[in-house]
Amino acid sequence: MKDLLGYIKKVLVFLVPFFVYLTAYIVIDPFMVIFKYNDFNKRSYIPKNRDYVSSEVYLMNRETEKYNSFIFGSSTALFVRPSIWMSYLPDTAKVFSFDASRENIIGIWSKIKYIDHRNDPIENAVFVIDYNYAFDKLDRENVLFVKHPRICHSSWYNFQYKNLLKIFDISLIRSLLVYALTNEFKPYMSDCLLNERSYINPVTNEYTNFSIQEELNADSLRYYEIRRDRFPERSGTEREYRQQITSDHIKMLNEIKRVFVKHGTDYKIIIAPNYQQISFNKKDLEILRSVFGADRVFDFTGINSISDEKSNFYDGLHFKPYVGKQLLDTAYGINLLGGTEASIVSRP
Amino acid sequence: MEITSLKFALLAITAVFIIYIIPSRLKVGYLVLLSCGLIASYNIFLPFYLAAYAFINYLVGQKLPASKHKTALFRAGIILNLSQLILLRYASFAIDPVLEMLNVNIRISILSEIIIPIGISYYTLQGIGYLINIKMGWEKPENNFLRFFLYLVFFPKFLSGPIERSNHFLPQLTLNNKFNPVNISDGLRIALRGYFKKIIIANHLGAAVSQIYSSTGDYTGYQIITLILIQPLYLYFDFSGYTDIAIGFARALGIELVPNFNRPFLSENMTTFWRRFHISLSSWFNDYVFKQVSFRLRKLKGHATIIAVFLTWILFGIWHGAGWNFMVLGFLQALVIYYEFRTKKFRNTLFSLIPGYTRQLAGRLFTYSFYALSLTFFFAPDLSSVMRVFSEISSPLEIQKIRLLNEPLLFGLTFVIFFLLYEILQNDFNSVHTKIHLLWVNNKVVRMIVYYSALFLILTQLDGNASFIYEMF
Repeated sequence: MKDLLGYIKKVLVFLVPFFVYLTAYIVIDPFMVIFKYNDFNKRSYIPKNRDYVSSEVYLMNRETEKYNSFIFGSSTALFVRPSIWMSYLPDTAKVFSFDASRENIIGIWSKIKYIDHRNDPIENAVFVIDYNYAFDKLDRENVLFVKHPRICHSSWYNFQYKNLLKIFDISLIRSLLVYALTNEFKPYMSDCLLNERSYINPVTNEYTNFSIQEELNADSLRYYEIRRDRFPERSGTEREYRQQITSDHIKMLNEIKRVFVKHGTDYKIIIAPNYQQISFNKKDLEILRSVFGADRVFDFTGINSISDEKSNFYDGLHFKPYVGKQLLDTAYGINLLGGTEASIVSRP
Repeated sequence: MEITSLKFALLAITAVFIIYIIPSRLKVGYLVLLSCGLIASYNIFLPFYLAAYAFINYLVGQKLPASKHKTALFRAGIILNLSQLILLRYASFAIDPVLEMLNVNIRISILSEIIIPIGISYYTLQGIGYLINIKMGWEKPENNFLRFFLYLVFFPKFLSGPIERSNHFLPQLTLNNKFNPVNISDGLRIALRGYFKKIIIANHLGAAVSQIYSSTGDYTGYQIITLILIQPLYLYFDFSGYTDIAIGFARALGIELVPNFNRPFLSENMTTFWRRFHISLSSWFNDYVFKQVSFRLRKLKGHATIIAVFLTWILFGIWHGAGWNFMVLGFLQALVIYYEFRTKKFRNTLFSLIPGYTRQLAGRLFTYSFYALSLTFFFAPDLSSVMRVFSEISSPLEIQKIRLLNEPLLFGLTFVIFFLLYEILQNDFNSVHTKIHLLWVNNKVVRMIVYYSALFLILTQLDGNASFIYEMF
């Protein structure tokens, strides 16, 4: 036994550098996934898992803020802003942006289920559907897209394990060290760090990226010039995305509808426009309309006045906040632009 | 639970220390429990199925020596072993198409969806080997069921071998396994080498190799040839990586597993190659199929060898999977081995004219190239894919669409060079190898630098492909 203890001691001494590294990771908590935070604006240069941030802000505030209105969707939902959406809702509305990067229907359903199980009200809801990811598989590998274990009832260990492995990423270590020492952002760092000024509202979880707007204001031509690859040539012909909604998705959609009926929710399903002008699949659109009602599903994909204009987009998928407002105008039947609904909506 | 996960490594290391704390009489039970726990993480029904499978083999083994109907009982045991293998592993290839032809609306392969047959090719050979040993009187039946069960399910080797021999494995379980720091350090070092081979080398080569079958048309002829030549390296580092992890953790737990590789790419012909590559499988087929068939057909004289060689190697091919490509893979090995057997004298006379090291080098290159080409039947999903790959070599693309030597591939190949150079030194330049070995043994700083660098590199690449090629068998 004495020999064994001596040997274990030797092994532990050998592992000291790893324990130090692990301790530093826990203490610094670079991805802000270990401790509880009131404010996720710290260390904005480190990309964070948006699903985790949204969920944590919600869990932290749900009792005090008593949210009753929710925006669901992927990063495109960031541009249907809570501060804008509020103006379409009654004064009693308490808005929260429950978005996540590459959000899909499983993530949205988990969030709605979680809110419902806590007996919190859902008076208003907006889904911003991104045709790329909404009905895609759940990404369980990429640390930026893994779901919050408490909301999604997944393994906490697995979530932390994925995050822990990320700190052994050589390019991340290099970028973090150089950035910490020089406080300068070098081009190679863009693969693993963010060089932008942004703000996450600690109550509504509204995300604002100031840098991108400043860049546009300074020289919009240059902005689009250096992002040419994100705006490839368009054929001008009607193209349709593949059919994605499966029987499992339909079950989930029906469950969401059941919860909405139970809560008396006023909900809108917005299918986000894209610069490529690829239309949402007709069969999928029919399914959404049959589940949620045709008057609640608004399809902005395909060739239309929004997708025609390059200046409406930050890149191929992400439209600008004023477009978000236009989408809400259409969804809530307010036509402030003076045109007809059909001038925006590609398919009635 | 993936073998390459940090979770598995930490659990295995913890298990190593616990085994030396618990009383000796509980060790077998403890290892059975650990092994069943790991197997259950793949499929919850599998440990129960394995217990039933082990119990039947255990009973047959017990009854065999004293039975009046020894041959009948032995045959029943073998048929039972093979039947479960065919039902769970080959049903979609051998049974379902026949039932479909007969208009019978039953799909037998559904069984393999309930009891996922992980490790079946390995434990079935171990079960059959045990019964043959008892029947031939090479071994006495095991009297303790738990020990026999552990022989089949021992977790380091369960997924991909080495295929153990009962007369090698079982006696070790009765010895008093005392704490031995040298064995533990050796074991953990071997396991670390295994992780390095898999995560740093195989994963980086594998990404390139799998591409030739998914997008054959995008590669030029030269690129396809290069990737075909990388195939053996990928398979070797993937499989020997797993084997090292298995042998390493087993040694740390106080159990020696049979070796599976012995510098195979330094073989000068295919006959030697198969004595050095996947040794536990090729020696199993040699002892339990080739020798048995040759003996039974001895009256046929020269024909007995031909039949035995082809039967052994075709079965060897089929063992890898239900598909014509695997059968061709086995047939090709048989063809070359038979050719080498028939022309041995002639070749020895002819090649004696060539200087020693040149002959050796040429032999190695030919052996390697033949194995690389034949592996196309191993990696391709079916025969038509093999044909497509071969036809693309002769009608190459004019313009290169994909850059072959990308960063991950070069990263993997860099370490391949180190490993192969070391094997060449070990094999051909003993004095240089001894000097390096002495430097290693006497220089703690060098060792620590290598260990820490290896561990750190592994951790940086841990997020990649976690499954091993030979796990699917």
